[in-house]
Amino acid sequence: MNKKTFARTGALLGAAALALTGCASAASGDGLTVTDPWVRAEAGEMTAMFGEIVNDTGEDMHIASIETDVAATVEMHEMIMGDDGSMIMQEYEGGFTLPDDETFTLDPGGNHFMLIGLQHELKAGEVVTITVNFDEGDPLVIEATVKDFEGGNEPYHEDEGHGDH
Amino acid sequence: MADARRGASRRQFLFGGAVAAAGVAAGFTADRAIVEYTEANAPAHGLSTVPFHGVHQAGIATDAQANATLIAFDLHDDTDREALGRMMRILSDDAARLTQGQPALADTEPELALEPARLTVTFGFGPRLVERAGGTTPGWLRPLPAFAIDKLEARYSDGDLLIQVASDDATSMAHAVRMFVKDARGFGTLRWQQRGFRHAHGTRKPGVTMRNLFGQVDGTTNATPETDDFNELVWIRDGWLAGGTSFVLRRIAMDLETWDLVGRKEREDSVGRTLDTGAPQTGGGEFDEPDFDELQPSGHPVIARHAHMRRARSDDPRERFFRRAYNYDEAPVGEASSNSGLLFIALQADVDRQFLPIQERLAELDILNIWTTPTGSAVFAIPPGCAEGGFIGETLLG
Repeated sequence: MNKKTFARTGALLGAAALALTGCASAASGDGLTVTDPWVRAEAGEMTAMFGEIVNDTGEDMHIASIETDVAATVEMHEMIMGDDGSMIMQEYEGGFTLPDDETFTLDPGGNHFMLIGLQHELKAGEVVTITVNFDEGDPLVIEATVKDFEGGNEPYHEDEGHGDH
Repeated sequence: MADARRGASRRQFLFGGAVAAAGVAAGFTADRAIVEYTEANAPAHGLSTVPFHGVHQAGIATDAQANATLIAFDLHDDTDREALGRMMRILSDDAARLTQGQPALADTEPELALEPARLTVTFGFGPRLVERAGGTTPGWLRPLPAFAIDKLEARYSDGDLLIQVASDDATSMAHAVRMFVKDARGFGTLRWQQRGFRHAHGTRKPGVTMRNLFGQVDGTTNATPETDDFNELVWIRDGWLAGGTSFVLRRIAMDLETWDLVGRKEREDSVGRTLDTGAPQTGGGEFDEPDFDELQPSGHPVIARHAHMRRARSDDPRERFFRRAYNYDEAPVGEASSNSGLLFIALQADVDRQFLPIQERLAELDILNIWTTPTGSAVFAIPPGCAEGGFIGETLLG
């Protein structure tokens, strides 16, 4: 992976002003719902989004790309077991497919959306907008809450697990 | 439950179960297998819930749960108004989920969230938080004046943010406390944590007056929640605190060593109530009014001039507050063989008008002062509740 240069604008996005919605989830897109989306708070270059996406569209949905204002790029990552038996993460070849009538889980230790080249520090309580584009159909717009998370020793922190891709 | 005093355990069970089922239907992060495991293993009460959203915060008028943990934070220097808004949104979201038996967002121990057992979470703001927010600080929101009886310690006193976590289950409560500590520490430093207990759930009928560790019936003359009297005494009417209240914590050490030296009659005289039923020494039952004018044949009043009950009463009926106390019993320190007391919590619309006059009277004369010592003191403003989609503190920070 090439290190992205990124501008530190210092300006907080207006997203922080959005209220959390108690137990409700942020969702849009026909037949696609997101439950409990969240992003790990981060002052460095990269972090990850987690949550559950339910696909009730009647067909498998293949993710073409993901974008957000707060990061230069968003990649789809999976966790696999490395040669030495430890878990490492890598970009998922070809992008995730959300099977019809199933819940696709993004969680620490598993699949996740990797936000790379953060435009500013993501602070707990902010709300980040992440747009998921599919091969066909409307994009899914996710409002994810930023949370502090120490994270079960998972390699989402700066300079861990990203050296070779 | 709005009125837990009725003790409708079956109704609570059904309600709690419905909430848990709704959580599953909505696909909350908790695994279906976890929820099924919990429902199969939790007896009714573990699933009982108290609504989080409402005009007032829960944990004030709520029939006191068996356990409470109070935590207070000092805000970081850079926690400004904008950060306070983010903090309260996060903490309110945690509370909204955990009190309903659902894991918090990014909960690393989701199984511990599923048996709330009437968990409530109540937030309070200290003077510095209100100042940082640029809000109007009520005149009473400041440390109480120093009293001659006080031996206050900083580790039990003051703070910028209060979170009262209470539940009938200590394990569920500990998990909630942990979640709040994790989510608040980006905004502040844990200043103190104080833990208290009452009789366990099921030991007594709901609504029966608690006993403290001196063996006294404690809290008899409390107003009854949801009555006009209670509403008048407790809830603030105006400003950003409308629908909120004020919270005074007095940590009162009770010296069980010297109390041991006191005979039963002298113990009863110290308060003016009998120890068996808590009735006034002038007769009747626990809830009958005392006759402060009744004299013994010797000419002395039946209820002594220095008795706690006489001193704690004002002629002005507005000088009253609502009590929600918890016992504490911790490891003795040094040479001591007891470390027990009361987390005395007073709730009132106006500290200066309702609480302070009584505290001044008691500091001036109350025979109980021989065996009791205030070691901690804190005053917080309790903001009103919030509706779904809102957050606690929105009237100040929104």
